[in-house]
Amino acid sequence: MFSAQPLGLTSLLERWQADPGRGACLVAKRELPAREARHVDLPPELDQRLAEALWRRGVPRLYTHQARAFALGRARRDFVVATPTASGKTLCYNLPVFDALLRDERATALYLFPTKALARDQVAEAEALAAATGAELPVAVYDGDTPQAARRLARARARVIATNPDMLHAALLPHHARWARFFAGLRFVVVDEVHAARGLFGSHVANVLRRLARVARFHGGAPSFIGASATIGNPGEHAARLFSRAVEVLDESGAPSGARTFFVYNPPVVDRTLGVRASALDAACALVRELEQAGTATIAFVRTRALVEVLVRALGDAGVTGVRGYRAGYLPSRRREVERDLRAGRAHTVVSTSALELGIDIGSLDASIVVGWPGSRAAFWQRAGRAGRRGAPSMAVLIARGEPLDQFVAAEPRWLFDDGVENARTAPDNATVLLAHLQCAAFELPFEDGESFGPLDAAALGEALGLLAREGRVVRAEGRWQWASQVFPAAEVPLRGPADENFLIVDEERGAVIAEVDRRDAPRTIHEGAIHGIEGKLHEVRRLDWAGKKAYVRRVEADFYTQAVTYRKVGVLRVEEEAGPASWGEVRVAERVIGFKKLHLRTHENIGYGEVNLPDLDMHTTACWWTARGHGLPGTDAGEGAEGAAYALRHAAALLMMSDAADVGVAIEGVGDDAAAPAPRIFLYDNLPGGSGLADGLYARRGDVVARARAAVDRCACARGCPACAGAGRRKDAAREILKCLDES
Amino acid sequence: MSGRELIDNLKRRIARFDTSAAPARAASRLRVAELPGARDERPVRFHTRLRVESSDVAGTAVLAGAAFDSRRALYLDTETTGLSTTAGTLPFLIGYAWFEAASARPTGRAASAQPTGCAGELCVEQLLMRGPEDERAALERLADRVRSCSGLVTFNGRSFDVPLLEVRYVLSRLRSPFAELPHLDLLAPSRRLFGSRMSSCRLVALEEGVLGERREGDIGGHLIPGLYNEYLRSGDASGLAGVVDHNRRDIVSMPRLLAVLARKVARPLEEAEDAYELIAVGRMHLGGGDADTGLRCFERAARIATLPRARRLALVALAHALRRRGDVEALAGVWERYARDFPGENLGYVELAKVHEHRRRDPAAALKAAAAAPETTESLLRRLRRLRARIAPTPVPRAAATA
Repeated sequence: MFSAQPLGLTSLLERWQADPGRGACLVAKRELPAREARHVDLPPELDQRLAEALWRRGVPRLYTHQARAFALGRARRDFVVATPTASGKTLCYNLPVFDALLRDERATALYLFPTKALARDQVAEAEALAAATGAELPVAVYDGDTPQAARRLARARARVIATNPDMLHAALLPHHARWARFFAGLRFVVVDEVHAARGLFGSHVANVLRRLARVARFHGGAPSFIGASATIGNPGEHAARLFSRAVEVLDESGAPSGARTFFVYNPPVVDRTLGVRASALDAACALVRELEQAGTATIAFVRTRALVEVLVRALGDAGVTGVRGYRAGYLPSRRREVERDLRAGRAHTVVSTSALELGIDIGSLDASIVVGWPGSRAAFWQRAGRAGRRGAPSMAVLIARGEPLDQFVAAEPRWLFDDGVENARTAPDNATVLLAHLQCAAFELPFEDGESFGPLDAAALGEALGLLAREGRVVRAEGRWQWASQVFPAAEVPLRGPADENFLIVDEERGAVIAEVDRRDAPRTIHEGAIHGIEGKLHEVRRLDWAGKKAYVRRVEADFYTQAVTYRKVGVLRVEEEAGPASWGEVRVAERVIGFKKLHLRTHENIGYGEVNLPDLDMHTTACWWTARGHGLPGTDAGEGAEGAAYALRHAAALLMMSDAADVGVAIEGVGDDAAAPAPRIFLYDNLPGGSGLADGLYARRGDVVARARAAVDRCACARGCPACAGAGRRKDAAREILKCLDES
Repeated sequence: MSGRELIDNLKRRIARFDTSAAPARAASRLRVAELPGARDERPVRFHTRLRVESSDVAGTAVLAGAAFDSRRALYLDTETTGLSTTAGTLPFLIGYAWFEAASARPTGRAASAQPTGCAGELCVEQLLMRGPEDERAALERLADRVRSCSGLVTFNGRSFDVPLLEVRYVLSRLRSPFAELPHLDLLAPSRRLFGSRMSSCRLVALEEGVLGERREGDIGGHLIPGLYNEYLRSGDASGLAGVVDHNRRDIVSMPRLLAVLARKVARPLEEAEDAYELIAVGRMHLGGGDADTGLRCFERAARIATLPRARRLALVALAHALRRRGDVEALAGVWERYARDFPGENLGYVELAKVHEHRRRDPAAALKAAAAAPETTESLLRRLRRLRARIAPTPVPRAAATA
């Protein structure tokens, strides 16, 4: 069976390319040849018990990069591993860590994963390795789900703690004295999936790690830092920012890889006059069906949770059996079951959101179908990398939608294949974030005169603490700054925005909880009348108990799904400063679901509409905005120009602030169709209640932001707008006119 | 960003803080050492002596679950800048008391003399920090005192004061004196004895409800963290006099509360004020291995209970104790009483049926008891079916069964 699958895939690919209809849709192809494994013998310095454990687990030799990782870790150097998916990154940190733990019975290690699910997955592997050594090396997950008794045990005995940055920030560090044994022995801090710690979240993680290093030092621990990263453009630079120290980069993989084929699939034009293309989802359905018939294990990535349901359902209707869905919102037990079924080969086809993009072990897959542009080249390669995990031939297909960005990629595939991947950006010295963690650090341990913290040297830190003392947060006595406020600073700073309280989805008839939805998505996905799918089975929301956070649903047979119609409005609450067209201050961003569309499951036609009556989701935050006056553009042109200008400004802003585009919200006001001489207002707001420190920084550098945005649009050689300037398919000319009015001079 | 730029940036942000916590410049500043009764040492020390009745030895042992010498114990209570045991919480006032005759010299570590008499001289010492810089000295002094005692008595110290102090010893790089020290936390037994009749089991409430004393002019405990932070910011200690007073009263109440608890445990039939106390004390004795006293408590509780809830609890406790002991006849008697007293409930009938069926091997009596149960439930119907089948083991034709 193992040999039959690749054969099926190879001949299927030949058939696709030979078929005139199919072949015409495969608009770009790239092949990467198979790569031989480069092995080395187990290093003689490796602790004998660990070497034997590896033998027992079927690892008689190492890949070259694993051996190098071991040597670096043993020399207590800081490094980041940035080899491809499935190249054995986990062993790159487990080797030096377990070697150290075996040699010194007081040594400990901290593993940080971006999500709880990933921590549990990786701990299982670390535990298996620990057990195979025959030594007593307790490995413990410590997160919000860990029961009290297990917490005590972890504090008393664990040699490896696996947790997430949020838990480290709010639980371990504030209680560090109870973890004195653990911090005293701390030899390694491992941060897996460092690319996930980018933007504002990355700023927080970098500062949590500064606090960690400080607390460890107090107890006598001096950990070295190891990072593991998916494909990003700047793994070394990014890890160095996160760890606040120089790191070495390990990106030469010695792992084997089968031949890989990548396609861009552009569905055919079905309406020539309107230029409308066939649905990407239908194309995905057809391709996955053929892959399944060819005996190929396939993962399909779609962009939203709702689309997981639509595609699972469509595949079922098309006669594909054993299709599983996977997304956030499924109960953990269901997710574990899907993972197990995939690993064991009981399920051959899975439809997922980005939830399976990270390193959850789902075994070996042969094909990855990416439906719609996933937002970045890094995300595309990450998803494509889910296929071909065991060195067999594999393939990945990007199916373009009708959207401008997708069509841009279809027209310019070299941009995807040859222009590298995005850098991960983060700003550890964001003043708002730094200030928050400075207070957490002062709470955890009094600062001594002469200490430094991050970018603050002794003098600057003294000055900053003096400012905090004036506000009554700290007091100074005998050369020490002691926390002196009832504020528990870690509770004031959630690392990823306000905690999402989940809404439960309850089957009215069975009285059972069948799924959950986080608060942010609740208004859009479980309003009354919404169709909510779970692995393709449709449920209608009969009643939404907003205060009780429960949606009551009933199983239905329907031929449609629903899509919420939302409306966003930004109102200025207070102007802090303004200069010419630019201002910054406090704003209220109101989002409201005003209704929903019913879309046919197969044709995606709009077949109906429903009303929704839900409260606004309000966010008070800070924003920097520009008002474009005197551009001379008529109504609709001004609107389109503002959209292009906003796109360019947002990307310039994210780049300038070393932030992630998702941290910057964008909104345009003042461009109604009826306005004769509209003066569009472009808001870039902190996408976090209370603000995240980007807006006033942007205002301070407003000249640079506008200049960069203008340069991006002016210098770009593209004909009709692309991701690098005003956005794919956007009107560059109009955007240029709008941007011109935003200069102060 | 340059260092200057960053500092300016921080400055702007700090300026937007909620300033209600900012230090108010006090008109006159009272130093900590100028508080009434303060000795100007480091930390500032307060000392009081008073006579307090000592507690019953046997009763104390039941409360502590082991022999526990309340005369050689240290009574400990702290006031802190917060309610969690996180690293930012400072126990700025550490108060403790010991019985003078029973302990060695105030700072000595030598073994102590044996207790004498029923009432003893209680020495209360309180260490108030002028600031975090006094903490180390305070912790060292406390450690000396703890090492000269044979046990610890607190109120909620098991989950708060002791873990917090252990954290402080770690942070000051000192050895904690608490490891392995017998610890009697009065909160748990107080809840068990008085929880049903007191709306709150806070120490102040127990003083009023159990010791019969009302605190006058006491500051609310919830204000204390704010008062100390306010002092740290302003340098004016006048707000702390009330805190020192509050802490002293808490400490003095501990040996007195212990005396009451120990008396009630030692002589439950004479001392208990209601059925709930008897039930709680009975359970303690039962847990301590003295089933006879436990049974006597439950028996008395069942007799004097006027409220249905108390009577129910008493009978159930009695039944459990009798079942453990294997006294089938008495057990059946208790459930008969239950069924008689609560004829609207299934429990008595069903339990009686179980005794008949499983202990006495008398399915007919069991069926009779179960059939008398007032409420028709699934499980009762199953029981009745099973019992009927046991009495008439030959399969009954379907038609006959339904007839």
